[in-house]
Amino acid sequence: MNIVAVTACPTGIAHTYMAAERLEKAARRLGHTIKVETQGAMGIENELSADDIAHADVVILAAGIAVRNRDRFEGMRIVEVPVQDAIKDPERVVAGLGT
Amino acid sequence: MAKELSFRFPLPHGLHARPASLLRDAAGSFQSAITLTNRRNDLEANAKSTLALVATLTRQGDECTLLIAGGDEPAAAEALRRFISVELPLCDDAPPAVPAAQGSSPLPRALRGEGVRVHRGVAASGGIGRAPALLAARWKGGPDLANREKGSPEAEFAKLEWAFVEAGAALRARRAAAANNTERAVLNAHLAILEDVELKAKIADQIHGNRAGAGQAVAAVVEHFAAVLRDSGSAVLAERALDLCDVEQLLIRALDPGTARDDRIALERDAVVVAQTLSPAQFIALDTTRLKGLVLARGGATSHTVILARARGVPCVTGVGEAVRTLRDGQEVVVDGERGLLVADPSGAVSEFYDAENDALRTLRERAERTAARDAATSDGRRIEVAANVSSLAEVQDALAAGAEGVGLFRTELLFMDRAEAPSEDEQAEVFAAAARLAGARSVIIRTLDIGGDKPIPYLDLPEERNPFLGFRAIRTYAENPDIVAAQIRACLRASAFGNVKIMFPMVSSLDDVRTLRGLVAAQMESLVAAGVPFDRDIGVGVMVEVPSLAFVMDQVAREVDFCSIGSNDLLQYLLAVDRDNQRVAHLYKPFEPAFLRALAAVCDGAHACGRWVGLCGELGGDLLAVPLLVGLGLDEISVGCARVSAVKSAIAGCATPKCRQLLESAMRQETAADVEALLRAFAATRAERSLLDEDLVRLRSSRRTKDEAIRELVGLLRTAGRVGDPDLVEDAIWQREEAYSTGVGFSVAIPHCKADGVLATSIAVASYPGGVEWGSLDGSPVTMAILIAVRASDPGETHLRTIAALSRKLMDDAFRASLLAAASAAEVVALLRSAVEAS
Repeated sequence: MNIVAVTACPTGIAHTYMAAERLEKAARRLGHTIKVETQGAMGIENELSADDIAHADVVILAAGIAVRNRDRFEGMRIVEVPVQDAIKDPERVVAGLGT
Repeated sequence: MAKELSFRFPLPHGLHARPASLLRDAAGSFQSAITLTNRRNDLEANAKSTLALVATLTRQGDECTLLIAGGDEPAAAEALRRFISVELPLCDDAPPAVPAAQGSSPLPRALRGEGVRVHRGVAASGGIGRAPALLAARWKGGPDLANREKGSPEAEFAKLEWAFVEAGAALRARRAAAANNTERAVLNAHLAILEDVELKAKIADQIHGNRAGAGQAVAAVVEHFAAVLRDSGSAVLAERALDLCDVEQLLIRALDPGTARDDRIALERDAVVVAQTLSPAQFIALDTTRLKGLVLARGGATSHTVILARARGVPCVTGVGEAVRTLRDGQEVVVDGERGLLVADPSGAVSEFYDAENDALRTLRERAERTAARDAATSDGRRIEVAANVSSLAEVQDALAAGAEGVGLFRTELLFMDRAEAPSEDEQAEVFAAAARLAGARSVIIRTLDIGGDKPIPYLDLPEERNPFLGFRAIRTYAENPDIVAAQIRACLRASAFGNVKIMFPMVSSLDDVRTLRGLVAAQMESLVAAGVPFDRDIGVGVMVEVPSLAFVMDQVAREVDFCSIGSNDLLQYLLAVDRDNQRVAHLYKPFEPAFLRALAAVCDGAHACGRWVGLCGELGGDLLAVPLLVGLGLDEISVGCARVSAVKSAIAGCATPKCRQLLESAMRQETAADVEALLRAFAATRAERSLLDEDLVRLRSSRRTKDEAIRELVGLLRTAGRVGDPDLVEDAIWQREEAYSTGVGFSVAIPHCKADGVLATSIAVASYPGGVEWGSLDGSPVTMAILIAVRASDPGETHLRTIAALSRKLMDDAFRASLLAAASAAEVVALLRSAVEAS
């Protein structure tokens, strides 16, 4: 499965990056490909391209706040989880996407 | 025929004590009667009385006239005209810093609990004091002076004369026993009030004109002036009314000891003194070994009492108002002079909070003292002396206490001001020798008289010139005043027998000057040898480099002097032809002008090529942005105002010579001052960014048990390292973040973080808790390690944010966390975190 994800948190200092790290590792461990965009204190990094999004099967939004440029994902399957869930049990988040 | 001068009053803060006393000084040396009239309110004053001048309530823009009548009218008019046009506009000192109004900032978390009794006031003197309250009795009016037996006006006046003598003696005795320079200065202010001509004249008027008894007359006149001050509309002047009352008490006590009120407060045990107001004299009389704090119902942060409390390190909160009425004698109170709070009956949590506060303040103070005591050196170990610029013996003492490694510039002009004749050789020798003794092996560089037509010195006969800075001043006047110069040089030489004294000549512009001046020194040396007076024959003789010509002939000049010190203020003003006191060109006075940096480099390189020591004693030395440039120049010494010494020392400690050299090279190649400034700012930013964490910020095996305590401890680590300015704000920001959801991310790790104004430098602090701390973590497990991330709100630093992001990712790695939790020392923790970040 091709996954794209966006992580964000209130201060953009720590959780955004922890969640990204956890999701990337969990997805790969479960045999998926994943690209995670971080929306943190340094702005948007590892930005998802139109191509990334076009090839994705599902979108994970792990954010405690509103995600920027959300309209990019219109018409796609979106799974929203609290950012802390992505840190606590990323495998469950990924496994919950189904196949 | 009387002379009249009209002018518009120029100073923004009006005719307050300082300009008034300078005008008094200017008027005081003439026989003529001199009267100031304020045309706005038609108030008149004898210009020889500071009190009367202040009482004219003159404000900026008021139309004023000075009427001069008497035998020396022309000279007085000329001197006063010059004072009004040249000196007066410059003599306003900065208004005293008034702390933020009470009640503006939120209470610290620990004081928000229920049942905590907190009163807000003004944070007037820092520190935390805790002791039982001692309520000072309110003085209930004086004895009835009006109905006392009194003699004839002549007899009452004779009593008054005697009282003035006794009061003066009492003040001088107190001054001799003063505990510090601040106390001495306040007592000098009281002496000045006592010696004010109008005070005595008005009291005499009361006795002769109104048939008042001496005591009654004193009380009436003091009340008149005190009322003027209280109603002046200026908080600073209003607080000076207390000083008048102290002088009144002295006079009344001298007149009749029985009628004076006994307003001393006896401390039999440790106490926090609580009073409506407290006069400076009352404060000085307190036993400060038992005085743990001071709470005043009224008053702000500028009274002499508060200034004295600060000098003694006594925590003080003022302006708490009616709250003082709610206190009982003996009730336990905390005076929080840091935040302007008074806390009654401190309970468990509040006690703990203030114990921790006291520990933190002590650590901060000890750290500052250690830094002050350390000799300055760059990070690569090159010594650079940080000395102080002073104008008096008292300042030498203050400077050495502040950590100055000597006196880089002893200005001698003050010794010559406000007097009828030049100070004698003995008088100067005594001052210089005392400075040399205080400094011990450290050097004391005495700059010889640097005066020109801009400063009126009656006995020097300096003409007023169109351009005094390019005219007859400093060494150029020496040939016409050979006795004065000889006396000063001899005084320096004599003082050299008592320490490490050096002589420095100002305004030198050529090798000819150097040779002439060395000739003067040599002649006095010979004469002292002949007279058998001891002095140091190897005394250093140097020049102040302030005339730009010297920069081009340093190879010649340096050979014939022992040292140079760059007077950067004048060097810059002469090099750029900018009078910075002229508002229309002041913006051109730019110390980062590349031409100026090249001139500095020429002087340093020239002096060093001859093996000569070179220092700098201008304002540039105290500019922290410029310090890396000064290190790059290779200066041997930087001399700054006393208050800048420790900051400059720390700035030097953060500099590495090779990097600073490169910075200087690059700065000299820039095209504009703005480019240089940008370069320096970028350099400062990268230096500040270098340390996100260090060992001081790690506390392993902390015994904290609650999240509250743990967060306070982590913030405390940043505070004592000088990385957090306002710990209350930072704690609040962290808790605000915790409220969104716990930063206990699981795996027994918590990452509390914030972006806040109180953070001075983006930083990481780490603590481990063998006992575990309940953090409300995502997985419910107690936290055994917390990593606090504090990000500066403005300009957090891109590199830092990147590092923190990388670190956050790395913390998700099981093996990395395990190694962090297993780390045995702070050094190991720092090394692990650093390597983790670098590897990513």
